[in-house]
Amino acid sequence: MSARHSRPRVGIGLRAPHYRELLGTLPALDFLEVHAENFFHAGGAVLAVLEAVRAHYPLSLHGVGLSLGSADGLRETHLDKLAALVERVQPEWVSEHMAWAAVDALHMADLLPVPTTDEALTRMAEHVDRLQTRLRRPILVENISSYLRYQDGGQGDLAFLAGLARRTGCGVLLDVNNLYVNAINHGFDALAELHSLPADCVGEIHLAGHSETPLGLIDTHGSPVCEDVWQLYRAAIAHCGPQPTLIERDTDIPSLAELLAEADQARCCLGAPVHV
Amino acid sequence: MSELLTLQREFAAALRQPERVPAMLARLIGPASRNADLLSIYRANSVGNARAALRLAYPVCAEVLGEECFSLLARRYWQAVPATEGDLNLYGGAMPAFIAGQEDLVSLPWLADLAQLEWALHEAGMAPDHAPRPFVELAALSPESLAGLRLGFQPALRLIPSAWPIASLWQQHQPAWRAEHGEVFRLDDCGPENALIHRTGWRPAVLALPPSQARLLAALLAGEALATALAAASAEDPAFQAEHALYELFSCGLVTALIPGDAP
Repeated sequence: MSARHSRPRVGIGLRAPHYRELLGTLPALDFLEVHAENFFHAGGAVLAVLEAVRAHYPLSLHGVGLSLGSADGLRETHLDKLAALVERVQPEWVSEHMAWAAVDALHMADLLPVPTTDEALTRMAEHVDRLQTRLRRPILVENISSYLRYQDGGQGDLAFLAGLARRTGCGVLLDVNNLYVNAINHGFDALAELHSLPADCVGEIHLAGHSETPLGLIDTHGSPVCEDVWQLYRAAIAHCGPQPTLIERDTDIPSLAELLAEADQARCCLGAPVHV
Repeated sequence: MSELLTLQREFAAALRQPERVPAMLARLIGPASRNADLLSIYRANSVGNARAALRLAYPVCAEVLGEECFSLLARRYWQAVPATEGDLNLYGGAMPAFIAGQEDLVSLPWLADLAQLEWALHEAGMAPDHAPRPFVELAALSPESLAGLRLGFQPALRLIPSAWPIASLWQQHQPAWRAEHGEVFRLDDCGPENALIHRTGWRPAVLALPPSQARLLAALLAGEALATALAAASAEDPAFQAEHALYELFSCGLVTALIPGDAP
């Protein structure tokens, strides 16, 4: 999954409060990432914005609700909508999560942790295979923050994802903040976990903020990237190379300028010239 | 039986039913009391994401009810009507009926209809794009062709008859109205309203239709021929002006197809 572009690439998550300013100013960014489900409509203004944006920037389509880890199969309607959107906007990358949300007729509207068992790996591999066959392209699968640990399954999430990549040819979207949050909450060595991931399967990196609570760190995507996460990010780059990097913010969305400043900080870490 | 399926069913049940929490806790590493708190984070996320989706679809209902009351309503709705799919833009369609069934909301008898209007508006924003037809296409037809003509309408269009002035109520909660009139509600002289939800370009919009115009549109939406629909509207209001009413339908960009047919 090594980068086809020699120049390191940095992007931000495109969120509704920034639509107008971003299209008006077209800041120097190498790509934009959007949540696929926000664009599942048949038509309307939001899709028109996405069409306008993709005329200027490569897109990364990030799914949050497909539930790749469901024990009882993929939801066909969701798969159909995702495939139609990929066909329509031709993103550079498509990604989803090592997570489940749907069981029976319920969708929990959250990213719930998958146990690192053989059965879960087999099911996820089937689903990734189906998705990749349907989209006719490899996808990236992201490690999530999880607050609970199951008794089933003993290996780390990144080792699990390495197995998934081996079986399906998918890449890994390494979320450095999620790795950090889990390492602190569950008391493992983030660097050792990082090195359990073969360097060549990482295709994108996510950076985000988290909140500190009495129960531990919560992955809120609501604050700037913290210094510890920047440090782990530098270690990640040293391990798997200057992969395309995204600054992700979903709550308490700051000014576009603030996100662009964080994107520049990532650029510095990647050793890339900062756009002026 | 799949171990993974059992685990996921127990997890989902623990999020929705307090009595199912202990079974889930037994599957986790670490102190049970702490794990119960951690499980609450997931429950709060699930409720919070549902609430955010509902707030997006029902901004005026949320404003009418206020933060606390709307959150409580959203929580009850999440409990009664769980999301069934990962596209949360589709979550909340049963809210009008749900509101109608809430005993402590009987003092707001119009709220269910207002919710129906907001859901139609929410759907209108996501409806397929359309190309309106100009009025001249109608004006160019012979009287014989006109009599048997059927009209096709933009996919976003919904007509919601209400015993309450829901279109005016909705309008008076919009920033443009507030800028001009302040927070002054002028509903006393508004009676029942027929709310027309549609899209002008990208913008979802609401209009209140006079009864005869609503009758015309309802007949045309039901696939009646133009002559039949116009007769129904005239029966509703003897002062009904056919040409003006038809012009309005076209000038609002509602008509997307002129379909020739036999006169009734």
